[in-house]
Amino acid sequence: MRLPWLSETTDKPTHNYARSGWRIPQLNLWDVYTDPNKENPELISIRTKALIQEMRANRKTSPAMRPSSSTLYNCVGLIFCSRRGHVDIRHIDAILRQDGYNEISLNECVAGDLVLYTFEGLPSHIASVSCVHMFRNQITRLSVLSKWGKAGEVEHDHDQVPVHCGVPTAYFSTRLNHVT
Amino acid sequence: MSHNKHFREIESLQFQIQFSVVGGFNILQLAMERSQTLLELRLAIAEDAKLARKIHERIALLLSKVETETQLSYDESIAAYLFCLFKESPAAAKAASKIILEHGGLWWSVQLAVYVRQQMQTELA
Repeated sequence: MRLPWLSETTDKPTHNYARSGWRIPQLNLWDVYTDPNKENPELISIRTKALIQEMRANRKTSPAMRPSSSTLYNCVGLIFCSRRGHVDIRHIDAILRQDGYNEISLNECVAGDLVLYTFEGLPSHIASVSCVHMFRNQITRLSVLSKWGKAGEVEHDHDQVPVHCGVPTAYFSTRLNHVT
Repeated sequence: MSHNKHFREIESLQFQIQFSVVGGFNILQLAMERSQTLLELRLAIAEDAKLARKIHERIALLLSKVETETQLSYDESIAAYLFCLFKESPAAAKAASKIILEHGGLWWSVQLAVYVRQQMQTELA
């Protein structure tokens, strides 16, 4: 379904490209919303708070919510489109490849690296490492910055996500010392 | 048999936030496949053809609330109802897709409605 917005404005949706020059497949938000830059921040906030409350009930540490934006983007859009796009997570393998990412182990993670989550074997979520907590050269906790789907941005322990975000499965970096 | 329990659960904030976190359309479908509540509702639709009509009415009701409701968008609830219809009563899903697409302004519901129509056109061809 295409809404008439495109013909009525000079503002064209922009594209995002991987480092290789490959165009990242992006959902055209304008096909769905009359103005995708005007998501209801109040609604995002309500949903995120409810998610955090649910997680707090079951776990020791609690995620911290960041201020909500009124622009619609998801976890992939947060990391690869600077909060400007909604990219389906099924494209994540291609994006990581086209951007030159390499898989690393959990113990090699530093801030800025990525954590990939899977749900029943399928890529389901991606987050960016924001802080590494070490004790005697071992990582004890990994804090990540996430965008939980249509909910807000959250900083949380990498293994504390809602069920449908999946489980942390792989870690990626573009640092040169990891190029094989 | 009353299905109010299922309706209440699917339309709750708790249900919506569970599904609002998904990062992709295939994950949404997989998550809905695994949902016990949706599985029960699907079984009920398979047993009682009249239930499909009731669900269509629930979708229409929720669509009418989307613009005025400030707390919930009901996107995931509507998508869940459509998913159940698509699995158990494709004709009802086609009709529901039509009203969802006419309404617009929803994320997963619109994507699922487009998918339902595409799938049904493929089957016809």
